Amino acid sequence: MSETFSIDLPSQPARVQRGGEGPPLLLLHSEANTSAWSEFHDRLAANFEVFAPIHPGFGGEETPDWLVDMSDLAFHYKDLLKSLELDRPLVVGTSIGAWIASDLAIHFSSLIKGMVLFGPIGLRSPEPLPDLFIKQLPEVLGYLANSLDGSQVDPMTGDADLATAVWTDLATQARLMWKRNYDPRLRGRAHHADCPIMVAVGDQDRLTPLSYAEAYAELFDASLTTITGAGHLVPLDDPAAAAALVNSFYLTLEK
Amino acid sequence: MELFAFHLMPYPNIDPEVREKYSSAWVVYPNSEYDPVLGQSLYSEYLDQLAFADQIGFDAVVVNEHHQNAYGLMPSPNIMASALISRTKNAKIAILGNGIALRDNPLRVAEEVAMLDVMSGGRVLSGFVRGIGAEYHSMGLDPTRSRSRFFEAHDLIIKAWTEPGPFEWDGDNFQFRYVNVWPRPLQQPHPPIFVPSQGSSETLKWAAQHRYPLACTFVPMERLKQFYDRYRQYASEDFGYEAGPEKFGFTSIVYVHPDGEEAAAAEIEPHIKYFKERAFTLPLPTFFPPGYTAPESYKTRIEIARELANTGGPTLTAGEPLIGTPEQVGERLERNLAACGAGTLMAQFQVGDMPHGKVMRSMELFANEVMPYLSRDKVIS
Repeated sequence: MSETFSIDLPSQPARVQRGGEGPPLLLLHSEANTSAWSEFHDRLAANFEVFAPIHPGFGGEETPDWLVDMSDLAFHYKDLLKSLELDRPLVVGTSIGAWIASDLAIHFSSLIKGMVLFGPIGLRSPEPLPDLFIKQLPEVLGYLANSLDGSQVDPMTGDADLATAVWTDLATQARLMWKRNYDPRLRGRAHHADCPIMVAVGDQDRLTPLSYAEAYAELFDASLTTITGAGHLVPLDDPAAAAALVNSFYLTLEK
Repeated sequence: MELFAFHLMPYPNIDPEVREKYSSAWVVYPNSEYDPVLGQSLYSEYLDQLAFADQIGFDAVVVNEHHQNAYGLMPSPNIMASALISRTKNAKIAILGNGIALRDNPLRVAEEVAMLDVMSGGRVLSGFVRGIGAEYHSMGLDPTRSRSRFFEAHDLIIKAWTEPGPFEWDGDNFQFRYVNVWPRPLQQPHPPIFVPSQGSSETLKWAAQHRYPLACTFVPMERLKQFYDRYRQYASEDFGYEAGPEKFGFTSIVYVHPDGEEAAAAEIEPHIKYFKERAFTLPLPTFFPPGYTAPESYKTRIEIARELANTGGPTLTAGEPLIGTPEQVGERLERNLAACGAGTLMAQFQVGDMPHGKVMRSMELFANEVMPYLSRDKVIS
């Protein structure tokens, strides 16, 4: 069960999905129209009070003018933590959501208890990563997760509204990642993310290779876990394993 | 009516399996497929065709800007315009796009077009385009900034041409401490501007506001009528003037053959097929990358893409086909312009891989047996 509400922030109103009881958890969603409340959310809500905001420019919204780079989202979410009066929540992010989480931790690590990053992006890769912006939409979903049905978003034969929703999310991603699908400053700033961090990736990830996740974990001084059978968007492909991982990580923080 | 000779300068030997092997004739179609020796003779023939259009009395010759593709070999339209200055005497040189949003420094466009205008004795028509989505892939430019960059680059260039420099420009996208363009254009206050449109209300209203003529490429007649009607409505209701035929132009393939429509169609069909099935191989994510338009416009593009898949590709002729005997072509041409209230036909004689000889024969027939019978009152002063 979840409810959705809107809360005014200096940047723009935030749309927030909320559910569950327990310690606070900020969940930062992934790309390509995957922001909706899902099985993963339900499983987390069994142990946490889950706050799952929809990023500005995602979930059907056009890219806002004020959004220039990833740090704008870090400041946006700092304002959200303050407005919701969340006391050092656990932050969980997937893919682009993990990048936002990393930036939030770099700028404001004292405000968060720890982070779980599923399939994080944002780091410069020695090998070029696939260019999702030139791929057909079904292919994009294929790179992201095993459990997404690409045929539904085929512009020629699928659901035009769904295709437009994925494309609209990709537009805001283009604002943030068109020129560089990484932040060159991440390497020099990662040490500011001074909180416990776990990186988790699927062993069937087609977007980023394992070596990429290893480099990410090393840079952020994080532990690294691999989930068998999952693609890039681990919480979509294996919500049970992803939620179990979050729970066990949280227990290590309590000790 | 005004007659413009429109050219894309396509590459003729695109791999027949371009779709299967490379997915696109744009952005990722390898440039190892380009033969520069063939390229030299192509440029020479294509420039001859446009020079001939000037000799037979066309009002303008039209060049375009497209990048990293085999569809059109004019990444720099200003270089083509420069080559045409010395090869033409009377025709205007219509640059249907400088892609002003594509330049990191739009003042380069202000400089280059001013140079062309001075060098040509004031024969430049200056089109401004946003550039299609493919250009944003090719230029490494964030398409979500495209509209904002286009409008700002336009304002900057017009100001650079019309207000004394030096002045400072501090915009969202472009910043210059000193704007002081030398040379200034010869035409005053500046070369005539025209813009293309794919029908977005924002563009139509903006064009009507500035009284810029619309130059529409490959738009079917029904949509042309809608675009022009909306422009006319904005002009009269919001900006207080009546938009006449001088505000509207569109492209059509023209092919004239002495033996009639069937013979003409049989001869041009392979080249149209080449254009649609090879040169225009342009996947939707390349044509409309994320953020290039508003979401509702993207949804409209999906509908258009589905229509095109059912009707066999883009519409190269708006209205009745201008393929047939001189008499047929002349009558239909006038009817097509009248049907949507347009004053300018941008005739495309060379299409796809059509060889030089065929193009020239058709143009000669057009010159000798069509043009003398057209009513050619000037609509653009």
